[in-house]
Amino acid sequence: MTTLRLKRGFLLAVFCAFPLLAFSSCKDTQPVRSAFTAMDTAITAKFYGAEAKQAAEHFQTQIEDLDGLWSKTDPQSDIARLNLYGTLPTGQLDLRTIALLEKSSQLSRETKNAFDPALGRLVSLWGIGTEKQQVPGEGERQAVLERCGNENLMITEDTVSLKNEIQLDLGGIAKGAATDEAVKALEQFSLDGYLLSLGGNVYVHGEKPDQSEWRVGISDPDGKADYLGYLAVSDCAVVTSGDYERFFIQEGVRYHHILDRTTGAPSQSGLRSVTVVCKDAAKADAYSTALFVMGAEKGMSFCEKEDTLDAVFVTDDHQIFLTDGLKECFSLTESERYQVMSEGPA
Amino acid sequence: MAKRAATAGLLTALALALGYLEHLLPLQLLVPLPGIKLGLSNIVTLFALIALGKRYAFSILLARCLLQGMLFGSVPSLAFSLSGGILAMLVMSLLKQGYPSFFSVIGISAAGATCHQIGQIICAGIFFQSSAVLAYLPILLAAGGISGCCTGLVGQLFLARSAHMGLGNDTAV
Amino acid sequence: MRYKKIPLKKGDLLIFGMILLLIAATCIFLFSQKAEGQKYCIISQEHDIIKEVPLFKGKKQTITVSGQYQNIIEIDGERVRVLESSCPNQFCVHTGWITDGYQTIACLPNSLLIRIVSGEDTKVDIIS
Repeated sequence: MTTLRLKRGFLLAVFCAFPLLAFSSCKDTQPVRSAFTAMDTAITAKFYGAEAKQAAEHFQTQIEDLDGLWSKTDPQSDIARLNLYGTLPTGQLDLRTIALLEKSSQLSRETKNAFDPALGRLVSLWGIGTEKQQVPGEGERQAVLERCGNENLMITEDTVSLKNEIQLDLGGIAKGAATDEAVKALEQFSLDGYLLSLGGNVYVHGEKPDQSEWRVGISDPDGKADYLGYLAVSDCAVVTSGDYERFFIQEGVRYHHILDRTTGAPSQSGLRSVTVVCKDAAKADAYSTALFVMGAEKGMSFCEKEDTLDAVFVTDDHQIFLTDGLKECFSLTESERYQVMSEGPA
Repeated sequence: MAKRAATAGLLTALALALGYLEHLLPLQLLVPLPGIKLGLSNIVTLFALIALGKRYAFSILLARCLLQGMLFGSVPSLAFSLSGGILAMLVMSLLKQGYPSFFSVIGISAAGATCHQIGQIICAGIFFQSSAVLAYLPILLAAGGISGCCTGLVGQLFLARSAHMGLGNDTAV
Repeated sequence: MRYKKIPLKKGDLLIFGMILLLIAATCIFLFSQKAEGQKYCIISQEHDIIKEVPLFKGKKQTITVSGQYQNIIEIDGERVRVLESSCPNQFCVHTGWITDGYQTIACLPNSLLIRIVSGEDTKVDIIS
C-alpha cells in the first residue's frame, strides 16, 4: 500500500515538473509590440533589438505628437488652425508642418495634381465615413472644385496662406510623413529591425531575428483572401491605396475615398489598388494616391521616369502590373484569380 | 447473480439521471467548450467498483455514456464523458485498494472527478487539435475537485446508512 | 446508527493535497506559456487593453464593447470580426474577419482596436 502511494506521488510530482522545465527554454526572439489609435487610424509596430522597448515608447510618443500637429479634427492642430484662419505666420506653425506643406505642394505639382493636398472641401462634400456621406450633384461638385486646388496654397518665408477659401486635407500624405519622422527618430536606438504600420502605411527596416526578410502582403481587393501576394523588401516604405478601404455604397454603387480632382468624384481609372514602394514614406503615400488616379498606363510611365519609386498596379480585370524594380521581390499567392502581366498596360 | 444485475441496472439508471442533471448545469459559462461536463456520475462508478467490481463498473460506465450521448448529448460530449469516465475509473479502482482504511469515499470521489476533468481536457485537445484547451484545466480541476467532494460526501453518508442493502466491500471481479 | 462527523481519512488529505498541487502546477505552466505560439485576440479601448482572449478551433464567443458607440465582436475559432456596430462609418464591420497578427480592426469612433497576436511565424508580416 505504502509503496503504491509513494510511487504514484512521485509520478505525479514528475508530471508536474516536466512542463515547468519545458518553459524554461525561453522566448528571446519575441518582438516588442506596440498598438494604438492615432491619426484617425490603427497603428501597430514590432521592434527587435536591444532597445526595442524604448524605441516602441518613443515611437508612440512621436506619432501622438504629430497627430496633435496635423489632425484635421483637433482644433489646436496646425492644420485645423490654418483651415480656420486661412493665413498664418510661419512662426505660429511647427517647422515639421511647414516642411510637410512644402513637400505636399511639390508632389502635387510633380503628379499634375493627381495627388492634391487642397481638396478639403471636396472631401467634406462627399463626407465618406461620416454620417453625412452623400453623392453630390454635378453642380455642387463644380462649385466646390472652384475652392480647391494646390495652386492656391501659398508658402513664403513669412506666411502660409490658403487662397480661394481652400481647405487642406492631408489624409493622403500625413501618415507617410509621420512615418518618415518616426524613422528618423528611431535611428538613435540600437535595433536589429522593425516594422511600422500606420493604418496600412508600412515601413520595414533591418531584419527579423531569424534573418529572414520582411514580407509585406498586398490586400486582396476582392476580400476573398487576406492578401493576393507579398513583397520581400527592407528599408523602405510600402503604401497601398485601394477602393476598398473607405467607402460607402448607395443604390448598388461603391463610392470610395480616392477623389479625382478633374471630376470631383471617386477616381474611375480601372484600378482597384496601387502599392508604392519607396524609401521616402511621404512620397510613397502621396504617390499611391496619385498613381491610382492616373491609372495603370499613365502610372507605369510615370514610374519609369522616377527611379526612386516602384509600384504594383491591380486592375479591375484582376491583372497585376509591376515596375521593373519589384519583379524579383513580388510573389503572387492568389494565382487562381490574378495574373501578373509581363508586358506593360497597352 | 440476479441481485448484482439488478444493482447494476439501478446504478446505470442513477448514473444516467445524474448525467441529465449535469447536462442542465451551465458549465459552459465557465468553460466555453461544447460537451464538457462536471462528472457527477463518477460517484456511481465508484459505487459500482465497491459493490460489484471492475467489470460491472466498466459496463455501467459504457452503458451510461452511450445512453447519455444518444438521449441528450452530442458526439463531443460522448467522447469527453467516455475519456473522463474511463480515466476516473482507472484511478478510482487503484485508490479503492486503500478503502476504507486509508481513503474514504470522499477522497476517492474527489480524485476520480479530478481525473475525469483531465481525461476530458486531453480528449478535447485531440478533438479540437489544439493545446490551447489546457487553459481551462485549472478551473476545471477546481470545479471537479469540489464536485467530487460533494458527491463523495453524499455517497459516504448514503453508504453509512445503507449497509442493509448489501453494498459492502465486495471486491469480486 | 450514530451520526458520525465527516469521515475523512488520512489518505483523503493526501489526495486533496495532490489536487491542489496539480491546480497550482497547471496555473504556473499556463501563465508562462502565454507568449508562446498561442494565438490571442487583444481588444483595447482608448489606451487600455480591456480583454485578452485565447483563440483556438471550436471556440465561439461574442463580446460586446460599449463606449461612445457599441460594437459586437464575434469570435469563431481562430478568427475575429466585428459583427455589428452602432458607429456611423461602419468601417470596422467592413473590415470583415481577421485571422492573424498582420491584420487589425479598428472602430475609431469608439476608440476600439482589435488585433491578433501569436508567437508563431506567419507567411506575411503585415498587410499594406
